[in-house]
Amino acid sequence: MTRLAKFTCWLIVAAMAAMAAAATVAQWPVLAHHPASLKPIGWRLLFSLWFYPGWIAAAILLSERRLRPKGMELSSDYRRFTQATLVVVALFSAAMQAWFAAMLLFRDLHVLHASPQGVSMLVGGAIFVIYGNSGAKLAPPTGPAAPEPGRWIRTSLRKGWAQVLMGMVMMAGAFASPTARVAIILAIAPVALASSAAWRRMLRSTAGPPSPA
Amino acid sequence: MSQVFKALADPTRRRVLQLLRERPMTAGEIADHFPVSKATLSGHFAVLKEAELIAADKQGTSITYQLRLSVLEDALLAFADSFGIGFTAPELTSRKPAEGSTP
Repeated sequence: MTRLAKFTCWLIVAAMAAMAAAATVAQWPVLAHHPASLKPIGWRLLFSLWFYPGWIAAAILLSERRLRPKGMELSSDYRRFTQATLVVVALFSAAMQAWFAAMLLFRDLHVLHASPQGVSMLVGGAIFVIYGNSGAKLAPPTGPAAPEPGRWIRTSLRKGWAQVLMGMVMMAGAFASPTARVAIILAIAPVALASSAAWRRMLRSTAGPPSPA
Repeated sequence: MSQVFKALADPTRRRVLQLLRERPMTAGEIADHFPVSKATLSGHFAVLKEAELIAADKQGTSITYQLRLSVLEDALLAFADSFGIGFTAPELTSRKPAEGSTP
C-alpha cells in the first residue's frame, strides 16, 4: 500500500477507536451501576462500536499482505483500486459507527433508530456493485507465480458478476423487513464465500513456462 | 459510454472480444479467425482500444491484445450478441478482398 493510503486508513481506525472509547466512557455510569438498564440493544451497539475499528484494522493488515503476493507483481491499477476501496469502506464504517454511537448516547432520539441496518445494506450493496463492475476491468498480474492472464480475466469477470448481483440484492433488501434482510444476508454469504474461494484458487494457479513454438 | 456502444455495435469487434476472453492474442492470431485484411482489423482494434475494451501491449514488432471488460460492458456485449445488433459486415460473408480494393 502507498504511505498515504496506509496513513489515511490507520487515521480512520484511530478516530473510530477514539469514538468507541468516548462513547464507552460516556456510558460508564450506566455500565458500572445499572448495566441491566442498557438492554440488549445497548450492548449490541457497544459491541458494534468496538467491532468496527477492529474489523477495519484487520482489513488493512489483510490488504497489505494481499498487495504483496510472492512471485507476482500486481498491476498498478489493481493496487490503486484496492487501496481506494479500502479507504471508502473505512470511511463508510466510520460513518456507521458514528451513527451507532449517537444511538447509544441519545437513546431518546427515535429518529436515530430509523433503520441503520437498511442504510448499511443500501450503501454496502452500492459499494459491492461498483467494486464488482470495475474490478473486472483491472489488468492481470505478471511474474513467475502469476496466473495465466486469460484465466485471471475470466475469473475476474465471474467474480465481478457475482459481486454486482449480490450488491443489487443487498440494495433491494435494504427496503425489506428486518427478518427478510437477515435471510438475504444468509443467502448471499455462501455466494460471497464461493466467489472468494474461486478467486484464491485462481491466484494459486500459475501460468507455467511458455509452450515451445 | 458512446464509444462503448459504437464498439459493441459491430459483430466483428464483438467476435474479437469473445476470442480475447480465452486468452490474450497477438494481432496475427486474431486475424487468422477473420477473412479480412489486417488493415481492416487494425481499424477495429483502434475502435476497441478507444472504448477501453482491450489493452495493447507492444513487444518488439508484435502487439498482444488483452480483454478489459467491466461487468456492465460484458452485459452489453451479451445483449448485443443476443439480439444480433449491428449489420453483418460484408467482409464476413465474402472472400478476403484484394489489397487496395474497396469493399
